[in-house]
Amino acid sequence: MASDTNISASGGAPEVTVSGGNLIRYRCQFFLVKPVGQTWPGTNSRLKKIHEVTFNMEHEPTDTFSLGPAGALENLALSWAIDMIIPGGGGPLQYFAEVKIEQDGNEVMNWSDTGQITTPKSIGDVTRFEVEP
Amino acid sequence: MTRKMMLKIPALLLVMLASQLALAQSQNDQPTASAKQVAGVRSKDTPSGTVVTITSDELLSDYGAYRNGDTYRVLIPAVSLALNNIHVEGTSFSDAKVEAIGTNLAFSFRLKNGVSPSVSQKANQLEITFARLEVASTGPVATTAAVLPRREREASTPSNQPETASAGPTAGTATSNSSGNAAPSANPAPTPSGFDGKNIDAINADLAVPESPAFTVLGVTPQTVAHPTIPREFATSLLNGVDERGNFQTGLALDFVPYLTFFGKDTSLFSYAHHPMERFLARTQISFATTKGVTDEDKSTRLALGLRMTIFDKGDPRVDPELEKCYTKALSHPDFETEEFVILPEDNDAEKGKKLRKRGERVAQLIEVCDVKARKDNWNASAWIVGLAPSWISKTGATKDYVWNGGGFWSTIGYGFENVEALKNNSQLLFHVRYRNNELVPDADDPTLFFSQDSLYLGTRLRIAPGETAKSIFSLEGTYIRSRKDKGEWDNSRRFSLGFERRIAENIWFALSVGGQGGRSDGVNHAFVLSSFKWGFQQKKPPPTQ
Repeated sequence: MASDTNISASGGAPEVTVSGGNLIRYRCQFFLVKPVGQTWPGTNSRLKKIHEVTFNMEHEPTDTFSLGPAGALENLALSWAIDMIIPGGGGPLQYFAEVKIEQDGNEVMNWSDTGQITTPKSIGDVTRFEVEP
Repeated sequence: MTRKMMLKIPALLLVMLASQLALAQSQNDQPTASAKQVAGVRSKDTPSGTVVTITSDELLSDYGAYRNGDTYRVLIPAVSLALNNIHVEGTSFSDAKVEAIGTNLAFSFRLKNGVSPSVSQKANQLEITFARLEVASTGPVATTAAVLPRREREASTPSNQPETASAGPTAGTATSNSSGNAAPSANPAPTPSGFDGKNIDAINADLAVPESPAFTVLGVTPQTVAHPTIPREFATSLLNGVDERGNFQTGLALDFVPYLTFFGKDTSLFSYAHHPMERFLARTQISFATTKGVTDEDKSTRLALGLRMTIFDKGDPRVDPELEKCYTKALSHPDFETEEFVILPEDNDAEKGKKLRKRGERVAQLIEVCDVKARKDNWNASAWIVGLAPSWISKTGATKDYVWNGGGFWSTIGYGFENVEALKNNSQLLFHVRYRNNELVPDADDPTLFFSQDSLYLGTRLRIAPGETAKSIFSLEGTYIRSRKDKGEWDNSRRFSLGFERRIAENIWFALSVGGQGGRSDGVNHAFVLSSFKWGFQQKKPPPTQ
């Protein structure tokens, strides 16, 4: 698991930036995860998808979104899954993906993964939020 | 070859075109086949392995099968599963699965060591044989087959959980350790846009490893007219055959795309689509080739460097909007938003790795039909390539004796009949020009003697993938050749050939060309046979996902 993400409840809304590289299609999904035994209202699931973006020929290979008020992230975790495809098959190609979280311009979490891809492959990780008053 | 034969070639081309038109028309006129159902799946262990029999309620018209590592997959288009649960076990495989992908069914089996799979069709049955290469003993034959009746469907597991068959009426104990549960997905994949599921064999239309540019200038490609394809980051070609001058040759070519090798990390599909220069560089291939005569008389070795540039390619999957739509639709599957496929904070490294592997496999399953359709749609797209290559020769075969062997330039424009409904999916017409100068050529009568040759080639080639299932590509080629020895008089001749290309395994293609030459003033009009294997290869095994 990626390291915990320490944020300040009194700080600004944390922002997540995801990026990728090479002639690869990246489909990135982000979920907020409730603790064991808790589910999101109106659902029977601990997972809530909060963002999805695909880096393809129509989208630049970087994207940023906000997680909302920092205080609301207490006891939650952020999980991400990145599905990589070489259009039409082929390869090998070197992939590179990065997820980072910033609060008020300061980087509070950074995760990256790189390697080779020949067939579709998924990468991802999860980080718990530690919210300080 | 006589002038009379020359006149017959255009007529042959017209006949092939007309037959393709007629075939396409007849296929368009046929009513859509009604959906078939798989009514039974049974497995039986035999002394030599395991046999799985898939029975349809109607005659099966098509299937595809391939092996990827230790996984063997059998794909049946345009069928659904009439069963609630199936349970397949065998001593030759584990982890058997069946998956609904659009309108197709995909059966997959994880092979055990030393097992060779094959599949055959008998009327409405597919028989998949898993033969053990070494049979340890001839113990009791165990038969397992369990088909739960359709009425039990109402009692199936929750909609977001895969159904798992309960142990059926199993005989014998030979399969007791296998994890052979096979269950249809409770959430069938959405049908990717436009794929009708008829052409599983269209995967064979992927003849995507380009002819090596260096081989092209050495004149030892199976066909004279190079066809345009997107270069792979790495590819190799092996050659064994008789060259156009009647000398037996063996050779090797290594091709790579420098831009992707050195700057791949800084590119993206977005910039590739929006910046023509980046697209040009990512499609530019450099190759190195060597050929050697293999007879005692011909000891010469030739080297060439090749540069191959793609000016445009309408079949580039990296900028194919239909393929992108298909991927988007296929990956909208709700599975990807469940705890089964998303990492949770309490997951340890092993669970995390397992989820990511499973997720990647699910992605691969869902997009397979997209790639198959894209290959089928794009193999003959219009494109334009340009190549140039310097070369060197050693008459003795010794490294110290290499001398300048002239250079070559060539270009091919391919037309994919995009505006002709009946031909746009199955035919491609290529026009090729090549100029080669100062080439030192061994004399066919006395290979110890060499002469300098300048040559100009003007050729055309018609490539046809017959029928709905493009298993192979046939080609007919005619080339006008203007050449001269030692800067003397120009000699005009013609060459004709029939070609055959077929994908024989994942990333491996076989090409064969048979033909003859005519009209040479020196009377050296050889028939020739050239064959080659081509494959893309991987630099190293990808590291396991952490």
